[in-house]
Amino acid sequence: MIEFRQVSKRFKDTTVLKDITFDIEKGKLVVLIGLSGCGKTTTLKMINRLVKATSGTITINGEDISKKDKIKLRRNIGYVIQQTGLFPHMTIRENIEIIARAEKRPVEAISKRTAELLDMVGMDDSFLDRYPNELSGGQQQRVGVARAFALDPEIILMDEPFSALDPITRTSLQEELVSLQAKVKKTIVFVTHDMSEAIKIADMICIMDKGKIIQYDNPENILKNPTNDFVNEFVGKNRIWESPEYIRAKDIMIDDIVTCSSDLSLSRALDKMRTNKVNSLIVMDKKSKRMDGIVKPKLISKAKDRTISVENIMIKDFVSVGPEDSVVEILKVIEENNISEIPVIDDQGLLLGLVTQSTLITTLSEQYLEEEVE
Amino acid sequence: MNVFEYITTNLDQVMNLTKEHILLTTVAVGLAVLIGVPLGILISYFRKASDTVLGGANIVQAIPSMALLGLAIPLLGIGSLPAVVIVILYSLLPIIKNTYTGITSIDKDTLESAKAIGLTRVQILVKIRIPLALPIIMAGVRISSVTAVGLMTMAAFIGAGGLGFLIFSGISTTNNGQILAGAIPAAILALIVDYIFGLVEKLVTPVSIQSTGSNTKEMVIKSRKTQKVILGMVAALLVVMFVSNWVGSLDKADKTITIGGKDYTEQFVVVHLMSDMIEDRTDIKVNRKDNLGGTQVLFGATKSGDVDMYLEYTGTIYGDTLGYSPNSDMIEVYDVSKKELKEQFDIDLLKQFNFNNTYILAVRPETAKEYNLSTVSDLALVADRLTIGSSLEFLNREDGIIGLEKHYGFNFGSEVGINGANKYLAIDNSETDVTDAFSTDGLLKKFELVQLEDDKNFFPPYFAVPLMRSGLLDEYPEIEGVLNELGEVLTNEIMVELNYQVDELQKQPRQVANEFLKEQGLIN
Repeated sequence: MIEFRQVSKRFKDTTVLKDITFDIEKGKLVVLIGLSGCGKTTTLKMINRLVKATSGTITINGEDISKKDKIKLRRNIGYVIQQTGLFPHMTIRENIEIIARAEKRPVEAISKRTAELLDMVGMDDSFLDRYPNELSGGQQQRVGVARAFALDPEIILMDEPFSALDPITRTSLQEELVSLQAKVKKTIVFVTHDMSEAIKIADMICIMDKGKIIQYDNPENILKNPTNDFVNEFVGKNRIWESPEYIRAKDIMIDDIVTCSSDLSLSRALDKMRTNKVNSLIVMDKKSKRMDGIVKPKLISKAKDRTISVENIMIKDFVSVGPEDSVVEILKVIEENNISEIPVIDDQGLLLGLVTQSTLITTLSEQYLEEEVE
Repeated sequence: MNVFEYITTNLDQVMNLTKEHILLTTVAVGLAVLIGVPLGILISYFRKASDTVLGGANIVQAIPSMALLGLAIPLLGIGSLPAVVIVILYSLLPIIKNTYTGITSIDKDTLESAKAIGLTRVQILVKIRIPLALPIIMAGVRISSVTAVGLMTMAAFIGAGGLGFLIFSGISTTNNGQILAGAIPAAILALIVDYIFGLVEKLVTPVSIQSTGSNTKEMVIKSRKTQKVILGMVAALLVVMFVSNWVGSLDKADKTITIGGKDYTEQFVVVHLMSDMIEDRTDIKVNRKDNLGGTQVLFGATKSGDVDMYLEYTGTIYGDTLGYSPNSDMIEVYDVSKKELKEQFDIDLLKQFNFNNTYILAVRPETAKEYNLSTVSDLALVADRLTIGSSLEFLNREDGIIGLEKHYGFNFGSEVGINGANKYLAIDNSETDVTDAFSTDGLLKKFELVQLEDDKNFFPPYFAVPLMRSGLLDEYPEIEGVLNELGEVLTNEIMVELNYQVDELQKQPRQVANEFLKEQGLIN
């Protein structure tokens, strides 16, 4: 929907942006992030032409924005900044309605819309006649968001809207933004310097440094596959623990599993476990690579005749997880079923690996161990 | 005469002058706002011009107001126009500066978000910049207005009236009551203006910015109602004043002439003497503009037609206006003056009056006794030990000190320039030893000074003579006879007496003139 093509920006002799090219898809929340001076705010302000590109083109829905009427363009793009963006001498109603009135929309329609907007941001109409300085920072920011939505624009730009708020208010506004976005599906470009905020709200994260895009990807890939040390450093090593849902079964499972065929005798199976120092054997069909069941030492010790094959005693209705299931879900499954190992099986039924109690402990303890090293 | 006495006996005059003062100030401040605010806004958009404009306004502010007034007369004449123009010039700086500061000091984020949500430049100016800058702009207007009230007292100097009239007249006649009758209402007016603009300043400050701390929004909104009522009443009062002034100006007779007068006692009296005579004997109405300053102002005003006539002195015309060296031949002085004024300026002189208001030098009786002084020649022997306190005009004239010192061959020990009645106070307090005086000056009698005889005939004749703009005699030929009759009656002795009544007895010049004319049977 918004396309940057070789966009550069120079202020006198400093180059702020160097040949930026990237696309923002319709309905996505894209976060521009980086250290101060990286060009993220400049990039944002180019979209509504608060900043003019030195070279390159920016298009919205295929139209070059430099050829559009500036005022019209801006009225179709919502804009939210820190709380100073509200006009201090106007009431909340006047602040929200200013553009609709400038557009000479019918008065009744404007009032109706204002009520809807306040409702949308979780405020009631008792605020209408108050002034911004009578509101808390969080409330002011809600009004700022409401104003950005006033003309129902397709695109909304947010320049560090929550950074001046206290952590509790910030968190709740972030959550509300996510749920609001789920409903309205606007194309939102959001600038922040806070990585955890980015991970919490973004569909796509664009990491910038010194006027260039370093990595543009979804949060999970940014966390797991940083393209270089800069991103790695910037994201922070333990960042993944803020979003454990991104730690998936396939990332932590053991794939050299000790298996046996269903016709192995119990005594041999016991031997195999001993020699491999494992607590269970996966019974697998060698041809189809499908898992048939699982055998545990306890089951074998109960059996009187140890010459029979494992087929007779193995657990056949075992619990399994998919490779994309997260560590959170795995822990839940383990707790619910009171088991110590879970096989990871893909949707074709093929066995991929095994998550055991010890792998979980190793994984979960990583965050603390690394912290100590630092 | 104390101030309360003065005000109670001259209530009408004080009220009228106060009204005049208010109207002049209102017009001047109003126009200054209309010019200054747009200019301030303009330079906030063209930053390059801001230094030039603010610098210019600063320079105007730095010029002494009296000098600016003097410079304005040749261009704008006398009366309300130059007074208003000069007060506007002085009021501009705070208005322009505050507007500029207000408009340019608005929070950058606020402006950026206004731009970003798609307001046009004009909308940003009207809806964001001006409302947010208004308190600062009004603070500038407030400063200007209070200054303007004080500055407007100068208007009297060029015949625009206002409370300055009382102040200047009072200084000329050493009438402290009269000075205070002008100064006190002017001061009160300034305080009222300050209060009113204080209210306006509060009203234009957004409720949100005003309501801080213990001042809740409800309190602010409540006090706003009272403030609005007060301002409404002030506005209504101003409207009434303007309308009544306008209506008043409508029923002026069309046969009206303006008689001007200089800024000292004798001139105050003769303006009324001439006016009363003319109004009594003819159907002409006279607009009396006394206290207009010196010769330059009046002569300029007569040339331009702002003043129809005034009483001049032959020596002044001859030496000052025409630039001849002093001449003691009274007939030659008059003939040359009459002929050349007509030729050069198309200005008419009537017959000379009977009194000769020439310069004389005077000393305290003790000084006269100590040095045995009775003539200027006696003075010449001891002058280097004495200080002369004389009017600025006399200090700088060829027929004043400069010529006198040459003629008699001496120099004063030191010279001090003091205008008006203050030079009498200075000699009375022994701060000076010698003073110049006019031979008809009532203050000579009041301070009992000894006149020194001009034994070597240095001082030229200064016979009073009516001076008229071109064409006045053609329009109103009847004036000539009336004034000739008056001129016959007025001798030096009579003028000293009349001046004395004003200066010493502190009577109103108009009353003195009127009583005298009635006593003499010249008018009914």
